[in-house]
Amino acid sequence: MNTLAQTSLSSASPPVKFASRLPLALLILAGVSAPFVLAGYQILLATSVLSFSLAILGLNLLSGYNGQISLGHSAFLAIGGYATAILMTKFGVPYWAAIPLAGLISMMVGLVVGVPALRLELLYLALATFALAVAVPQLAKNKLVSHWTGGVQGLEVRKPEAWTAIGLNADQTLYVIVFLVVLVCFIAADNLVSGRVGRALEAIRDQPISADAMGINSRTYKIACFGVSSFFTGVAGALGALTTQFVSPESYAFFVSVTLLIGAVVGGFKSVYGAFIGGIFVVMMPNYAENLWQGAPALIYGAITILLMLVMPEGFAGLVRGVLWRVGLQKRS
Amino acid sequence: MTVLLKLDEVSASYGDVGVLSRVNLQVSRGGITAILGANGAGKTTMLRTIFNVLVRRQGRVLFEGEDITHMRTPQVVRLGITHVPDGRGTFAQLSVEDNLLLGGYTLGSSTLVRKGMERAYDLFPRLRERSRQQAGTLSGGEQQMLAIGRALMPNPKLILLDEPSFGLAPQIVAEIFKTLKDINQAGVSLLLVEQNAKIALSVASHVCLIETGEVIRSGPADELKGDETVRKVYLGY
Amino acid sequence: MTDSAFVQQLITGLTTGCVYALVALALVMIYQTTHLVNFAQGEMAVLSTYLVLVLISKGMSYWAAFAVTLVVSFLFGVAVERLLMRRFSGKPVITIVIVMVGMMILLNGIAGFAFGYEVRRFDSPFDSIAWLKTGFMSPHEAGVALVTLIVLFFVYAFFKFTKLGLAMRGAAANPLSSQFVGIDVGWILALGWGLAAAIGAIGGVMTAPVVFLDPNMMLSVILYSFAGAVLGGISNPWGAVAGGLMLGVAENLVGAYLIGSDLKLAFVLAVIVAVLTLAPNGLFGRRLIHRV
Repeated sequence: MNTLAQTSLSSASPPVKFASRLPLALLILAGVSAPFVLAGYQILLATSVLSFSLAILGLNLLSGYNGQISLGHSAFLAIGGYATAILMTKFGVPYWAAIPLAGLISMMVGLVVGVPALRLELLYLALATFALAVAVPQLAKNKLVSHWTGGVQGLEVRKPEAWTAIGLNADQTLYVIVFLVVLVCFIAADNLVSGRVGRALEAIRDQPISADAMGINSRTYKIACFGVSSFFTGVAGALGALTTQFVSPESYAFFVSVTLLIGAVVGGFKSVYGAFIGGIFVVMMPNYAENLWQGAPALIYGAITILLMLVMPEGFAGLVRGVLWRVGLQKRS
Repeated sequence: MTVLLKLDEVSASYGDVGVLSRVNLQVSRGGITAILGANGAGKTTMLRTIFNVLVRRQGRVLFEGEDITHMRTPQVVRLGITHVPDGRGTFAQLSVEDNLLLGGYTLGSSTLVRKGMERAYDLFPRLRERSRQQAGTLSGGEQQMLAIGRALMPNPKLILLDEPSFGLAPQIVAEIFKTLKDINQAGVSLLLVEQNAKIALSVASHVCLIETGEVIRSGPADELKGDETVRKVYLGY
Repeated sequence: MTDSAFVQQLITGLTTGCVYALVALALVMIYQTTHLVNFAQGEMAVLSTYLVLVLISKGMSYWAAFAVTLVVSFLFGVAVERLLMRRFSGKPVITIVIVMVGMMILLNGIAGFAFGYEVRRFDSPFDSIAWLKTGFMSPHEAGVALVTLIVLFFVYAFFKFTKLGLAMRGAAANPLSSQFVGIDVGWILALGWGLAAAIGAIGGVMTAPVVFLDPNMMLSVILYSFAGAVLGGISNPWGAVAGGLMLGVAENLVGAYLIGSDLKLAFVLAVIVAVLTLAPNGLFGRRLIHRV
């Protein structure tokens, strides 16, 4: 869903430009019409889809575009969520300031994590982030910080006030806020990866030695990538906290990290807008599957992941790209 | 002289990169066949195609008349071909003794294994002294001896050697090649790939010249030794 | 803290460490021939543990169920390698890691589906064995230590005295040369997965009496085992065993005397990050040269 072609977009032919702008257009269309079409609980689901998509986008940037892996991205969700809750409840910060602040705090942690991550080859990075994911719930409820984090019980988060002036109820207001934040983030991410930065990241992923030889400062880019990735996921955590109105250690259990990873895989690692497919999958599938039989979401997650790796390793986005390529609308990357 | 091994119009590539182009080669039973050529000419690839390892290829490989083109490596070994890889290929973390034992993996009887080990120790007394030592701590020459001893373990009919002189001091090379001659006299055919044309020609009965994946000359060693262009290009005089 | 309390903690730590050592050993079985860490090792062990429970409920004696489960687990491990993992040989590491994480979730889901998420009791087979009642260890702890020693002995004997054990060591040291001596490396990989599954099953069965059985039982155990394997040196089976024991002792002592039990996982995380960034070969591991 995203051209990775080396030619700049301005010199591309009109059909190619159309194809590359299409996902954004579809997103805006679907996003804007949702509050009018959906009601009540469904709006909350849609809001969740949006924030999870942003979380998955963060992971895509790190793993898909830069070839690092994280089995522990729930940590950044947790940082974003808890930061928002603490800022709002303990410091009275309004939500519209708490969201970017939570993102920044998450980003700083991400930059710090990115430094030792440089030294770890992929398998060991997976191990280390796995450990992080398992440790997160305990870190959130332990005695040292429970004064701030609310320990096992967690913290409550107030939903933003409804924008009754334009006729929206609280749920719809939240939806609009989340939609706007997510839209801005996605457009920013898209611009980032379509340009020089994106190409540098991919060069580092595919041919690290050549990238160094070409003068790309791999270390800086990789650390920065961790920072940007954790920023987006942190913001997603903030939005998630506002949606569920609650943060607790169990909200960020290990399983959540795996969910993010699978969402990224389903949508397609090397894709910006593919994250939405992933988001839809990880929010909607359990919603229905939980009623089927116990353990169904996990079963489906596992089976889908293995099947995808066998037949469609580039995920949904790869499928779409393949189709577009055949139709002549996209260069093979 | 019967034909032991035959490469029939063999082309080979690593992925999309072609390395060998329609190579025809015959290795006679009982002799030492040397394949000479510069770096990158395709010599190692040729040996690998015989074992069906790492390369994609067309054409046929025949051993004792049997088509082994699609046989998996362990089966080829059981037919009687063993390999002394470039860089020795020793099991560096394991002891000398374990290396030899592994060479005898396909042997059914422990008596044969013991006999094989004795033979290796007789040919290379230095290995007996170091039998408990980790193979990776041996000198280059000793590792080469170990690799040859290992290749001898299953009483093969044909041993493929990939650049046995590589990185070794001249005296060691001479010592090793003398042992190779002895092994050959005992009835084992050898197919030898070498950059060092001089030492190879000193033992070879047949020679094959390969350049950028193609065989340009082949024939009995005496014939090629006498040939002036061969001498100039490969021996430098 | 009194001396005897300290010794008690030490002993408890060693016996917990036995489980970590067993699972770490399983991880090394796969790592040494594939250079991959099996993220699904814990869930495989969980399913094996449930199998023991099912067999007992059908009337089998504990040890008969245990033996059958070992065989089934071994075959399952072989099947996973031959039918699934083999298709990814040569693929990028990130793909294989994702597949293993997928398998982990899948097995977790199967356990949840087949057995539910309620926590179940799992009685230790050792409580009733009279000669295991020592003064300073519970019968279960003594049993775990004994079983671990037996497993370690068998694994040692396997590697040192059997042809297959030699072949596995060869495949770990040099897979290409292994082919050239006639070893079918594919089946050796399968053997590694089978052994790992069986050893992991023992680890799971030893854990269940203490933490009780539910689909997520092995999640923190596998984390400690990762840490132990990494600390000891994941390319070295005996290093990994030592690392597992050390982690068990450290977990108990650090938890009791230093930081309290609710930061134990943070401690493990710190160990993993520290070892991987500062000394990736661990204490006893060998240098592995990665070709470009």
